[in-house]
Amino acid sequence: MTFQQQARDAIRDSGGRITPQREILFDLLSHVEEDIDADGLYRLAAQQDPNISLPTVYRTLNTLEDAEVIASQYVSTDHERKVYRVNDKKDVFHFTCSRCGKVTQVTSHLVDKLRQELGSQIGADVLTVCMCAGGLCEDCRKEAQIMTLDQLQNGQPAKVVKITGKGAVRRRLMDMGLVRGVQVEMVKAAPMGDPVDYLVRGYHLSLRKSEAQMIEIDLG
Amino acid sequence: MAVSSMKIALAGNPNVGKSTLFNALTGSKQHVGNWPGKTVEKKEGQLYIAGQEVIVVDLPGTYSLTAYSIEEVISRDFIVHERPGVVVAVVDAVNLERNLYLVTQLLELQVPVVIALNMSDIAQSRGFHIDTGKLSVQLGGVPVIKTIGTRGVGVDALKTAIQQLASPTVKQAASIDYDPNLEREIQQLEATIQAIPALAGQYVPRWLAIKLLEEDEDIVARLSAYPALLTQATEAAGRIEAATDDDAETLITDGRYGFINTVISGALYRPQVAVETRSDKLDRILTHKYYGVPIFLLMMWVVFQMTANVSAPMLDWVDGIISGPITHWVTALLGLLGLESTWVSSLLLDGVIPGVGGVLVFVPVLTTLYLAIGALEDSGYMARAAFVMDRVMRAMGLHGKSFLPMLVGFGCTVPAVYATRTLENESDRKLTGFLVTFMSCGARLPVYLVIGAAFFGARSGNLIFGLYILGIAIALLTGWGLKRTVYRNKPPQPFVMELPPYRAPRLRDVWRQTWERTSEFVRKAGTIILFSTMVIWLLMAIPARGEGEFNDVAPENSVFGVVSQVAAPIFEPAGFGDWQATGSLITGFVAKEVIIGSLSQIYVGEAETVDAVDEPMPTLTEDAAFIGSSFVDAAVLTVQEVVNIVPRTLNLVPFVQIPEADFLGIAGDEADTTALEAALTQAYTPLAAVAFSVFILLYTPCMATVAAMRQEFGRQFVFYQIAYTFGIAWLAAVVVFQGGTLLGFGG
Ligand SMILES: Nc1nc2c(ncn2[C@@H]2O[C@H](COP(=O)(O)OP(=O)(O)OP(=O)(O)O)[C@@H](O)[C@H]2O)c(=O)[nH]1
Ligand SMILES: [Zn+2]
Ligand SMILES: [Zn+2]
Repeated sequence: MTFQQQARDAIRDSGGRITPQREILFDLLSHVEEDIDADGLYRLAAQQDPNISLPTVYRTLNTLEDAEVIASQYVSTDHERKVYRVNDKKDVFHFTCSRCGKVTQVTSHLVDKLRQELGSQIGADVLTVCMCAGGLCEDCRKEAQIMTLDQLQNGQPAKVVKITGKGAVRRRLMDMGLVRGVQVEMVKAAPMGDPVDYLVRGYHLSLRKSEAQMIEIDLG
Repeated sequence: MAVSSMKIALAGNPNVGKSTLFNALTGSKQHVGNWPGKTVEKKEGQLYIAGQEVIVVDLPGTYSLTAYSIEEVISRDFIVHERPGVVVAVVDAVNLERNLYLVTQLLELQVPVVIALNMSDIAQSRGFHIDTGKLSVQLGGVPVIKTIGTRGVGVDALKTAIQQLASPTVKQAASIDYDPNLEREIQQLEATIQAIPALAGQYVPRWLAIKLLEEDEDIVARLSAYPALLTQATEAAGRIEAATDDDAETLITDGRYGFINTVISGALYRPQVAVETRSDKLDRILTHKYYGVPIFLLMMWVVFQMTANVSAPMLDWVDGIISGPITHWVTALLGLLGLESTWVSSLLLDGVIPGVGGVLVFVPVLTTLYLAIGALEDSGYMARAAFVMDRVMRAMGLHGKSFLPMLVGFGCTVPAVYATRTLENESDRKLTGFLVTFMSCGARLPVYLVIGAAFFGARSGNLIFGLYILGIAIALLTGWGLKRTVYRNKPPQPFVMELPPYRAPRLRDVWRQTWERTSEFVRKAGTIILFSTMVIWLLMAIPARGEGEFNDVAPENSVFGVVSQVAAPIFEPAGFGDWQATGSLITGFVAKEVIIGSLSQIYVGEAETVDAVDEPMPTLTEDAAFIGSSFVDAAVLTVQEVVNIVPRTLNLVPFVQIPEADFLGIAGDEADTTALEAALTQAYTPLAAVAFSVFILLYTPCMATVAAMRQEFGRQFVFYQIAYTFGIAWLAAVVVFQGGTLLGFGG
């Protein structure tokens, strides 16, 4: 049975009619590459038939979901968006990038395990698990990666953001004036590349690269 | 108020001119010693303000008052427990922000502070403008006096400020605005501390509260008797972290530097365009990617030349006077007293005078060495040397700063052991201290010189250079090995070091330091050397077997000879298994330079009795003339040696051959091989002599060094050090002798 046939059955079973608008929706749902939310589906359908209405889209989606012909999933941890896709009975969920908003479908065999575990815990038959993941996507992570002082190029000015680590070295670095917001400039590396001479508060301070790594900076 | 004498302290970052100002304030009325129980130098002096005596204590130079190094703990303990009437904070005007950081901590200790804005000449020449009045107001009434330490400018104004500040009516009211969350916790802790009389009486409560929030190890350890307070502090730190997402340490430092920003705003004008200073230009060359290392090596070569050659003429001069005129005079004096040829005369002529000579002969070497090191330190190059060398030193598991003790080790191991203090970390210090003995010290050099001259004549330089290299190689190997075993689990140590601006070293300051260090050697090591020479004389005077009575016994029949004979077979495989060599090595434990003295006592001492010639006794005028003319010669030769560093350096380049200067026309005139050298060539093969030299290079350090190491690193360390050095020395000597014999150098 194709998806379209299942969908028609589901609509009929719930007492609905198969209109051309609904056929458009069935078609779109079976062809979209990524999971789609109600708004997105409405916009695509409206391009083919301007008479389609948003309530129709919602009603159709709800009916199909009730009949388990399609599956839905919340994206983003605040549960503001719900996306739909053909129900392939797979435990798929979504990762939303908090910076660029990109949504990525992800899955894990652990979800199945989780379902079994939860099931045995409460003696129920757990059919669905709702899960959301959020954070920085790969691109954004690369772009926003925190720069440390050892990566600073010759003559480039930068500002200290944070001193990481613990103990005497960190204490010393801060005592020497490397605190949040202070300007640092890399002057030169020693003949063998390490340590490196930095200009801080108008004086020269030499640090090994391993120590400079403890200092997070911001360019500019 | 019954004022006995007020105490004031000088505090400041390293290299800001503290010592210079101290000298300007106290003149020559000063006393150099150590902090109780510590090897950190303590300088105390007196000055008079309006007829009243004031004692000035020079605190060690530090950047902060945490528990990061012994110096910091010493400084703050002094301020906390001795409560000086005034603390003079010496501040580098060119580097105001970082220098004021220490001042913020002094203010937290609630001692009256006056700021000496030193180096104000340099600040001016760089186009800085500092409004001292405004600075003073923004610091809550801390007087700020511009000074130029080197020219004594501002010293009188400083004295007046000290005097005014010492009156208890003056209040300083600077307060640092900390983050409100932090401030709240500080105040709560402060209240708790205030309620504990034992603490409130001893510490400034607010300061102690801050230290507790900083989790200062030293303070936490000292307050272990107050667990409730410590728990309260830990909880407070936790609350701060939860509320601000920052640790207390960060907030405190931020607060202090924030305070500094407000203090200098409007009071400090700095030219916007950063001019490249002369120091920066110099640095472009001296730490250059390609020239940096060769320049470093050249510097070291020059220092080496200075200690090895430049001091030699003066050394000969001192030696000549002691063995010439002084011996004559003492002999004559003994004759007048009717004591000639008694044990008293023997004690004086064979024990005391050679002992004194052994100490004094060392003075020119140390003086030149300290002059060289002083110049390197004062010029600011030493920090660059550490910067350039850190990569290499780290490969040995050491710190760039370990280079300094290593270098000093070429002069004398004792100050080298003390020089390890510049290293902040204990394991760095110990490792450096362990290896420092392999740097062939100046006391070993005369031994090589005699052996070299005896067996290799003009080629003795090769032997000596080879020995130095061998010492370094053994140190490298040992460091490498220790790092992979004993120090395997130690985390790498920090290298956070200021590169101070270059300055022309001032001869007067360098000389002063040289004088202090050299006279310290004479006082400390000198007594040991003198004492041990006398002990050896005694051992050689007591008969142990055969015929002979006290002070009239053949060396081999003395107690000394018997002990040496028993131990001698150990060195059979190394080619010098006779009692004479062993005996001299035993005396060498007392001090390495004694080896030559005892060798000549053993070999030449006997010979002398044979050819006791009746030379006419020189008159006093003749002696005076001899002393004078030989001094002039020595002075000329010293200059010549300095000049000759140039051709000697250039001659290192292949195919370059520049003749060396020879002012007196006596170069190459080395025919007067001493009696000892002649005796040595008869007793040993050249190969055995090399093995002997190698052994001397590596074996157990002298007693003075052992004493210094015990003080610095503890008994256990000394035990391992002695065992290891003896073992490696024996092994190396045997390898040289047996290997050499196999290769056919045995003849
Ligand atoms: N131009 C200038 N040079 C100064 C002044 N005060 C001191 N110096 C020089 O600065 C250098 C360092 O002075 P020191 O007195 O040794 O400094 P310090 O603070 O005692 O240094 P440490 O003993 O290493 O802590 C010396 O070469 C002084 O001659 C000054 O006011 N102006
Ligand atoms: Zn993203
Ligand atoms: Zn969810």
